[in-house]
Amino acid sequence: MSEHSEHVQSTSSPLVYVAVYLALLAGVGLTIAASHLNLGVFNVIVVLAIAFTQAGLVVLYSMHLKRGSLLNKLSVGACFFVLLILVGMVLLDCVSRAWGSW
Amino acid sequence: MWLFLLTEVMFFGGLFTVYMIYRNWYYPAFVAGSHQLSIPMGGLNSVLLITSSFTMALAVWFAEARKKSALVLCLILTFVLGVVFLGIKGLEYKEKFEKHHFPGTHYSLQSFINPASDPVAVAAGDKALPQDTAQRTELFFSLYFAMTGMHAMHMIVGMGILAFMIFRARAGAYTAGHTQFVEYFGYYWHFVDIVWIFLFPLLYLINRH
Repeated sequence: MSEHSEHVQSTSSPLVYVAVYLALLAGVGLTIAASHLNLGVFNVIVVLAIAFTQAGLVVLYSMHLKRGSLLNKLSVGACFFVLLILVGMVLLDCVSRAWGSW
Repeated sequence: MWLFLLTEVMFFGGLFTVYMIYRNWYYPAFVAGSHQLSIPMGGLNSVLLITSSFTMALAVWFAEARKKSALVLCLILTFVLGVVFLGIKGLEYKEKFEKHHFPGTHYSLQSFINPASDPVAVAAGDKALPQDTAQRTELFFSLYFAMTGMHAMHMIVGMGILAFMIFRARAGAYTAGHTQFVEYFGYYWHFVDIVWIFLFPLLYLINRH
């Protein structure tokens, strides 16, 4: 197997990393610019949307999940699903119990 | 490695949930607290960390391409960028300590009750907060120090491993076909980068317009 690994470059071409790098830098600029606009509640939504896009690029390309095994993809998906349930439950508790009376 | 990182997602997920709830409860205090943080310093740190993530990705690529000197160079660059990031973080912490914005018995409400006394608050156009709201800024700084502190600790651990890898890479350990260690460490470093990608807008950029 190691004889072949010289020819099989399992990692993507460095150009992909350059593209991801530039996209992430653009994301930082966009986030700062967006935070200076007055969008009301949408400020945090826009800023988070940019952050999730950046995180997605890193996970898919820098961390190679895009061409990773199905097991890894499912694990990551399941993790975020469980996190969503946990955070959702905590929020539900807060909203239904004491919202507005702190 | 993925399973370890997923436990880390849960760990930081908990911190972000606490942040989300308190931010909603004590929004004016979080705005005033956030205005005390420096966007140029936070932004520069974002650029540094993203660049170090890039050099780390290149390091993995060079390890697989069996280019030893390029691999060592990329690892050293990643390490140096990490040091600069922590240096800037240290300067920010120092400023917070000097202004008594570190939570605890010496915590000072001056910048929030009397914003005219603090040039940073004046520049942000902050209005004076009532006593009880001003006290909640301590909660913002507790979360700020807890979250950025945990993030910095992950970086310090990562840089320890990086130093070990630089040492091993110079001996040619990763350029003879066994690249898994470098690749898995890269995953960890990218994860630390992702945490900062969320920390920066959530802590530094609340209500900046």
